[in-house]
Amino acid sequence: MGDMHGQQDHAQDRSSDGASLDQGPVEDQVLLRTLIDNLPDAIYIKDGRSRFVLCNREVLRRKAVDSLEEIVGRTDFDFYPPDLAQSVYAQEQDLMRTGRPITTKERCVIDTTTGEPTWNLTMKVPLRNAAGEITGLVGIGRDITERKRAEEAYRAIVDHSLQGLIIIQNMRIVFANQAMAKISGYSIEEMLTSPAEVLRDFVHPQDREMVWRNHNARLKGESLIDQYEFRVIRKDGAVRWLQIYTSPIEYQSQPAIQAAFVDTTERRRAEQALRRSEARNLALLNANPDLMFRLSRGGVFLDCKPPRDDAVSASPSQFVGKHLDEVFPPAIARTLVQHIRRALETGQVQTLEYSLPGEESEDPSFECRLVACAEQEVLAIVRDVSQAKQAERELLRRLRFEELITRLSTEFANLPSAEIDGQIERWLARIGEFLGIDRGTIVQFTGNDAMVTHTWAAPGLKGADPELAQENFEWAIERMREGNVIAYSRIEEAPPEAWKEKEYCRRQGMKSVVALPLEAAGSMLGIMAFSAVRTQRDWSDELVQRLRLVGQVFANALLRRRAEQALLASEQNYREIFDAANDAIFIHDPTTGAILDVNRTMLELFGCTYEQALRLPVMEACANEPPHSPPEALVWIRRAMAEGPQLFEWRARRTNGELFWVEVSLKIARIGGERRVLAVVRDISERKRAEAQAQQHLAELTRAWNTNMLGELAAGLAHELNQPLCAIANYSNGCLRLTRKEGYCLKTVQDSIRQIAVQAQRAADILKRIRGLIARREPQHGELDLGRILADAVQMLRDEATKHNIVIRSRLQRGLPKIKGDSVEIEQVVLNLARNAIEAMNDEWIVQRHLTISSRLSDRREVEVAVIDTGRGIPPALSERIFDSFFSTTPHGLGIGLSLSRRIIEAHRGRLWAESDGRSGATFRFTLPIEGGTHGEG
Amino acid sequence: MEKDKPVVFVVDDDKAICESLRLLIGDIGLEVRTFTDAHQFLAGYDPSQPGCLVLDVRMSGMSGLELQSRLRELGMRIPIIIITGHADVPMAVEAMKAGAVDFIEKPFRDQVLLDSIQRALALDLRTRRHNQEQQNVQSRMRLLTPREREVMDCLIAGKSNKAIAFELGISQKTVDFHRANILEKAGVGTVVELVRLTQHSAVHIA
Repeated sequence: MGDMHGQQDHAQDRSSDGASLDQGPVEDQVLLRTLIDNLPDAIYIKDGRSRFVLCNREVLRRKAVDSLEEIVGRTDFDFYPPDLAQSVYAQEQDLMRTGRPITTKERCVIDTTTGEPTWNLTMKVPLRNAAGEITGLVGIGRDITERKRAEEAYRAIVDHSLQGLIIIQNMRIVFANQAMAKISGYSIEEMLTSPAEVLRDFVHPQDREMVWRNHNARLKGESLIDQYEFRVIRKDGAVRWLQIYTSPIEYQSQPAIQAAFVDTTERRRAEQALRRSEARNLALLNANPDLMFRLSRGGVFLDCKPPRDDAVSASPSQFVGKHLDEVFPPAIARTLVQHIRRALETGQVQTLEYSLPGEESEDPSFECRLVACAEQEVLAIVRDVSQAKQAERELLRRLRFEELITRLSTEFANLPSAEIDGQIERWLARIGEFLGIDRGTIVQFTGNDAMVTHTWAAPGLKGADPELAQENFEWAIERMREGNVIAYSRIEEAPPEAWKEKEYCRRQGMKSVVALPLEAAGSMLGIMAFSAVRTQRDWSDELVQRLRLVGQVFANALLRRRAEQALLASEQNYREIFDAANDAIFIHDPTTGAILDVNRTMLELFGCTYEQALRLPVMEACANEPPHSPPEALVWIRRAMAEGPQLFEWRARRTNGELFWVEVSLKIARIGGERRVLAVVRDISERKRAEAQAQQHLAELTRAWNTNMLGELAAGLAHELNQPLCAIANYSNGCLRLTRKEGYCLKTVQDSIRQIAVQAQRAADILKRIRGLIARREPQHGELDLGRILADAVQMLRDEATKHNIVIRSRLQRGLPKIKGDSVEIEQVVLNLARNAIEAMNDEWIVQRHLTISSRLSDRREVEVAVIDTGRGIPPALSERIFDSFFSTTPHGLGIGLSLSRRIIEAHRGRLWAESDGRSGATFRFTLPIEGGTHGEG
Repeated sequence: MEKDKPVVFVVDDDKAICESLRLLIGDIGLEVRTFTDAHQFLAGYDPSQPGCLVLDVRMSGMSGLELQSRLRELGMRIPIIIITGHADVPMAVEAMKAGAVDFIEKPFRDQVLLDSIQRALALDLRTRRHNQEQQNVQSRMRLLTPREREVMDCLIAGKSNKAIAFELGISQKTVDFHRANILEKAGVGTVVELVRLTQHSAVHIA
């Protein structure tokens, strides 16, 4: 029963082995093969030493090899850098030992064909033989580069968001983005590693109490305003005002607080500046009255005191005797008269402001205070506040613009992707109106095209032409790619190189223009431009800075939308893969167990429609009796949640009531941000059937092997037994004949009878041995003498070896310690290995035929036995497979000798393995632990 | 030792078998020589010694079957009786093909073996006798002159004197003369006897 040493055996033998077990029609196999070959996933089988045994076409493509032959027998060390290969190997070997499936983290590898980095998600499950031993693994690798890119882009947006973003968990920052680093002055690293005190100290001492009160309240889930302002101290010591928006979230399955920050310091500054300016004006006014009149109750100028520097108006004395009506526009005059009356009636100072229409763009403004000074007279103190007023207005405008930008950035931060386009358009209008600009346009680059995607124009004006030829803007785009803003209050100021741009602006009737790049995550997505059509206008540096901010908000939003679209596309792609999977896939709600989604294979497998599937109760999808009923399903789900992925066999039910076997891989996954139970269900009815058959086959073969083995032993022993029997018969017959004659030699007869007794005893001894062999069913773990067993085996094998021209050599170490075990079983193993060895040398071309049986005490307190031949050797790819049941390289081999041998040795807590360079012979070694060694191990 | 007396050779690596066979076979008055090793037997065997060989199959060193084929290679045609404790059909077939006269399974009834030995010895005797006759014929034939051989061939072929005389270009008288000489040298009286002699001993005159 030689079942080793194949040489032309190819990995495909395995599939043909499988086919013989499988009763399925051949077309199914072909179909399956075609399907597997055309999947976008890499699917492969590796043996116990992580060598490729079989793979689909995708693997060949990724490894850039042309045929299966180039990959079979090779390992990851042939394809990956040593570090990576080593770590993968270690993981796989762990799987071989423990049987736990591996779902690797997303891993980046360099595609050998394109040289580009690709992202892989790999799942590996153990491959077991019929005896349940792990003989290798099946791996499925999925290329998720596309999804990964979208994710990275998304991540980049968060990182580049104007808003600072942190996630706080257990008083520590567990996530922070780039903007937060900019706002706080701490690096992301520093924020993530800093102790809780640093986080506390970051808040200004005066606001600390309030902030932590809010934080704790929010953790407790109390309802609270989710937006307030407080001060922080940057790493560099500067105090900044932040507006915080918080929301409770679940981060890595734990409650956490997500806080978004907008730096409002600038807005606060503007506010303060405004307040300061107002105060200063007041002081100025009090210190510096300009012009004084005395007015009668009826509004007639009685007297006039000219201002200290007479720059504002002409001679005030010209007003004396005139009525207010004659000096001021009627509306102002009317108001003044009313105020005079009120001042006289109440005796309190009345203040009013007015402006007079002037020639300049800004009308001069005046403040007038009226004080009752005589019975029917008031004193009017008038001051020119035009300049102060202008500054104030400017400050106010700045403040409102800051407010606008804050609102813009907060609104965009939480904007659903679908609303982004609409909001950009709305905000373009708001900003345009606020700044008094005529036209606002956003151009986006898509590949080589530029397209006007958003546009706004002041009422009554035409928007930008949506058709743009990018070659007309090469100069501008080039400048903007370098990060510049293009701003001209007169188009003519642009340099001559920009003639195409100028030409375009003239055609569009633009007088002044400002254009800035829309940049996000380090790339330029497009351009935002504002222009004035009706009049020329200036673009102050400050305005440009603010517009840059607006541009940044828009750019981030647009990038996010693009990323989400890419993600959506990727998800659609995913859906296709999901539907194309060979396995049925269920997505369950982890709490209710309800089916949320299934793929097409599920519908086919269970025989239902999608709508039916979503309403399918668990009890109707399974056998619904222990151990395959809903309570057990729940136990599996809980186990998956507590311990990670679970793999188990399950009895499922089709909608037509038919029960069938499936293998379920249960995993908790985050799908669309939600915790879900992912169940991958594989129909294994065929495998089950094959397994049952294989079990039966194995039982039969085991019996056959045992009887065969016994037959061999009996044959050997029969010869020995026949010898004494034959001798006895001869002696007794001889004696009978002798004694028939007269005068026989008595001594001869006596000697013969003595010989008969000796031979009878010899026969009895032999019989005892045979009985020991045949009667034994339970292994007898007594003390065994390995040296004797090996010597006996050599003796028994001698004939067979001689017949095949094989020289047997025994290198047995003397005085080996005693071992506990079943001597007959160990002898069977030795004989089996030796017979395999003899078989392996039974090729005409093998000239040197040596069978060596050696034993030695190894340093691990084990006895090691080696059976060494000079035969065909074992191809490396098969060195483990030969231990599989039913694997045989010889035509008559049953393919169970080695697997049973290994089982026997392992039952003795030893190991059995093969060593071969695949050419010149093979060595089979087994070890047996020494019982009751000096260290007294039990 | 007297050459004509047959000897029964026993080769078996089990001494008990050898000795018990010596007792058994010796009892019927035959000379027995035992060997526990095939090589030992080969070294001491004289082919001219009449007898037979009782040979065990399963032996350490050279097996019984190997010894059998070795003897054949050497042209030693001693009759062989195979005895074995573990007989199977392929082995028996091989042994018989290789010329064994009998194949006996151990343990055996004494009479079976003894009868077999007797048959083997008889066969050996016959063979030796036949060989002797052949040798005699051959030596007689060697006495013929070339012309006489030609004439003899024609006689054996059944040709008449006249035809022979014509074919060989000699006179009938001369043919008669040759024929008388041939019959005399062959030690037979008639041409019929001559034909039987030459055919039986398969002598073909080269």
